[in-house]
Amino acid sequence: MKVLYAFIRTAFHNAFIYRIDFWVRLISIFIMMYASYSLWTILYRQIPDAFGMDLETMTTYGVLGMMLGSFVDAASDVSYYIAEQVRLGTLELDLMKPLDFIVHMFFMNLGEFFLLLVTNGLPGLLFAYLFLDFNPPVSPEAGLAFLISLFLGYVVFFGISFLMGMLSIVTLDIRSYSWVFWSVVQFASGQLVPIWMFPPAFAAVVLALPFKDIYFAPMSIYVGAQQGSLAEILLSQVVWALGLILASWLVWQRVQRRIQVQGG
Amino acid sequence: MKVVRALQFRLRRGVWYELRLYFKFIGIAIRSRLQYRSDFLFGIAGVLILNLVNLSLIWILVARFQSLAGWQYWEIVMLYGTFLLSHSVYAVFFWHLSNLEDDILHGRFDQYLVRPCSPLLQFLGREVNYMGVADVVFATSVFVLAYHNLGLNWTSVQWGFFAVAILSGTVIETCIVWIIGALAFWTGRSRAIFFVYIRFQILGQQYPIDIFGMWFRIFITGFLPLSFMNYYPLTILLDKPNALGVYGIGFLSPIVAILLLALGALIWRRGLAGYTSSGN
Repeated sequence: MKVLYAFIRTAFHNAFIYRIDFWVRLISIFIMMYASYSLWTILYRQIPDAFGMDLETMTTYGVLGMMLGSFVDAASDVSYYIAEQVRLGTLELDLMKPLDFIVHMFFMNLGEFFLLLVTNGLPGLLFAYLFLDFNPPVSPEAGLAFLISLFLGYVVFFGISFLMGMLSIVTLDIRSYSWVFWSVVQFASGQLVPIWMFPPAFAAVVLALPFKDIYFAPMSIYVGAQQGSLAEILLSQVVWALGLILASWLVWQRVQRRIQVQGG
Repeated sequence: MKVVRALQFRLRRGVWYELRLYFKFIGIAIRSRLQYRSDFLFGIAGVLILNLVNLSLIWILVARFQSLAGWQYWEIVMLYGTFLLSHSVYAVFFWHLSNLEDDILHGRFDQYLVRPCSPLLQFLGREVNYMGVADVVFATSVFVLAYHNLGLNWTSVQWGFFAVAILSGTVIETCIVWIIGALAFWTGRSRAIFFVYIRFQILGQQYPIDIFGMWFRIFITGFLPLSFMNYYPLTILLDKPNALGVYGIGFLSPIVAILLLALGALIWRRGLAGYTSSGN
């Protein structure tokens, strides 16, 4: 816990150095939330009650996706961090720390996650609540399940991102294609368009992948439109989260042997 | 003083001389780029996948809700493709304007000032961006697909207007990025503003601005005139009402482009005249 606290403090410290960036990010988030709100409003005015939802439920889903993205996306930074250390050849500094590399990465990233939650997520929530007809969770239980599911989704995302970072040790540069990968993840995670609107065959493929557990699982619980029972969804998330962390650990054990530190 | 001297210099050598120099620079840039083949292939594949993802998302929405604010799927694809056509020319030749801030911030801009040639020309000629080629290919194919699926049959006048609109779009995007980059002459940093701009660009590329509220429409028409790149010209070519309800706004695209170019040149001159290096 002390380790986590130290990382969170560092993340906050770094963030307040760049105050303009803070405002800019906030404005960007507001714009995207507003755009999503407008889009669903127009669509639901054309066909009210499509997919058995009402307008406010759907705009809540759309706005929520943008708001969550503003801090859950912190997980993708793990891959960039590792890739950058590999590029600069400073990865050994992290290896020398008396802390398991995956645990280190996780806490460092979790610090950023909480930082962005406070600096982006909460202002976003306020903006949504004041201007965008934002609904609370459908029930207190759904609210609690949402928070658990959100955290599990973040762990799944972390695992995917860590594996992506490992790829940078093998191929040396992931920057030329990782942005494409993240856009596919965004699509398949249901962050922008809920998976129940996908064509059936396509939805079946997307539901078999882990990406849905990042955004779609918590978001659908929040608006009360989850596919299947709560327990089933949370179980799927736990399984994917554990599986990806295990895979990360296995890959890391193999990769570690390949690392050659030059100079000295 | 510096500006006056630069102007005299340019008058002596002539515009053609400068253009020839520019193309020479570009030739060198292309040759240095071609050394990285696998990067090139990855880049092309990436651009294709990214655009396919965007278009599939829109397809899902429009297929499920029949249309979007009165726009059919292929009309939106055309909106997207038209933007991308303008953007692709910018992407190939002027994309590095978005990195102008870096050069100013790190004092690298000095090297352009000591050579006997326009700094802007040197900066623009320094790089070509191979990813832009993928944009050109993708934009052309989706545009042709949309054109056929909409059963259009434009006259040569309409095609002429379309060509003018595309070029105006390139000028508009280039100038906006140029102006934002030049702000770094005063503030040292402008990347932050650029990121906000990118958000608007993504929205303007994908959606007819009818879906947004009035203040947003006015903003993207008058202050950040992105909708002159694709939306307004297409409302004329596809014979659709536009979001401001004033007929013929789309004809203003070239004028908006020229105004932005003038504004950009003014800001650039001012910034360059007051430039002091941040290096040592």
